[in-house]
Amino acid sequence: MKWPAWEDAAFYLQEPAEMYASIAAQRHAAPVFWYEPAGYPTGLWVLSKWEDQRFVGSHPELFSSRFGFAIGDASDPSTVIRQLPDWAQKKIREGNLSPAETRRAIAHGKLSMGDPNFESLMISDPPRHGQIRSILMKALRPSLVRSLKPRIAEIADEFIGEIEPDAEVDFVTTVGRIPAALMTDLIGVPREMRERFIEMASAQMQAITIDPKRDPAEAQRINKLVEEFHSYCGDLLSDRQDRAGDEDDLTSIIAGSEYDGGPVPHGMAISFMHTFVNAGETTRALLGFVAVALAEHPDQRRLVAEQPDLVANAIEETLRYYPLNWSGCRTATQDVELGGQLIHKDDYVLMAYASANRDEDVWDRPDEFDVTRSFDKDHQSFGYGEHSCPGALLVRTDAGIILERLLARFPDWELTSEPPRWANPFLQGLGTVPVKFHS
Amino acid sequence: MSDLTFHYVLDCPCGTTLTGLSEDEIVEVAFAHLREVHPDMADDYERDHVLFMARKLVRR
Repeated sequence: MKWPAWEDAAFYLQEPAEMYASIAAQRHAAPVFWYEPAGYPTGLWVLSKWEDQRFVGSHPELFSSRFGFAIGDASDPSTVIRQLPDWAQKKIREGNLSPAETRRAIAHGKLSMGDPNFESLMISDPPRHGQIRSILMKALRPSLVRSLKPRIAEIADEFIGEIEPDAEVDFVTTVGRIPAALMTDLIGVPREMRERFIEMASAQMQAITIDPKRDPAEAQRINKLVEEFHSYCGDLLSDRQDRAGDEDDLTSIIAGSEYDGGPVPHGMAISFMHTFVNAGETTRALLGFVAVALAEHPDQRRLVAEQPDLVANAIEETLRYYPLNWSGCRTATQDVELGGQLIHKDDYVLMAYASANRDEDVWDRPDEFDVTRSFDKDHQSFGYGEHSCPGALLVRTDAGIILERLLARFPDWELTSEPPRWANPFLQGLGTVPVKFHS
Repeated sequence: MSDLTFHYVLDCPCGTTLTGLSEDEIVEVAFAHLREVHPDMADDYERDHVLFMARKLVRR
């Protein structure tokens, strides 16, 4: 059995059963494994077990996020340097950077929107990380998410009401558009700008996924859309700052927040808007996999339709079974022993969420999709600890309401052809999900 | 219709997973956790907030 090529998109695009067999083989034989990806300047540790990943996630003092968060951040800099802004290119070309500092230059560069002083939530550690995250969580606070429930149901009913029974439709561009519609509303984007905004925001998501094999023309297209996205967000923020509290959207909350005694820095504010969009895109991707899983398991779909109390469980099982994010990375701040292996200071550590979600020590029958599964322990699909997904509550709420409304209108659906899955070494999703809904 | 039983699960951002067999129990457990581990945040939450964040999941 060949072990996983964690850095290679092709590994994630093979048949899931083969991919998970390969992941399981490594988890059984070498749960803490020193892996040297082809073409990478240094190796990295792969943690396959749920327990080890939880340990890393709950010890930011031992495992830092400052020096990269994705496997691609450890790429050979010469293969990705053109995807970075000038300041990051200069820093890398000047040399004298350690492997950890090089990863930081790559990760910081791709997130920075051209600003070398940009402070990112994703590559910060406590206590600074907590200060940045608290601004974001003010916008995504539970009371606000709870107040959205009627609005989510209203938008869901509007979109679902447009679907013709027994006609072939694409789930991604029908039901899957509900979260993005909701999120653009919440951000304060006018309806006529909705589709363009989503396109720009998707490009931003692609831009933070460093990929040495990216086609230069595609990289150029992405960069152009990203620039447009930043410019549009900047205008929206300025507008809300000028109006000073006249609006109650998420952009206004950020525009009215403080950081270090002053307004939230421009780049940071835009990165928060990006996080809001990501919550919508994550929900879209999650719902796509829910549609596939429940079409492939009609007995389980009927069970959820008959017993709506199972909706939350079905969402969790889909997140476990189809992780949208394959992994997350940290850097050891000191020598640490884990699973009988000595991880040295500055070593890069990859937490393979796709593996932890199938760990036999945590899950019975891990390769079966089961909406009645007991979640005594949480899956790793939203990460864990300080850096867990800040939009998780909104994603779960949004997806749960949409699934409940969908099952109430269409308790039955079928796939009309195999949905094409896309994947890179960081994320996966579904391009289209052709379905027929039945009343 | 299956005879599944459910409980309430709440993942505190600090990493602790809290569970309760009823709405009252998860609220009680969550407030006890707040008082013990996050006393500075104990006044920020009300019963409704806890119930909203808790997920009703299958219990074996």
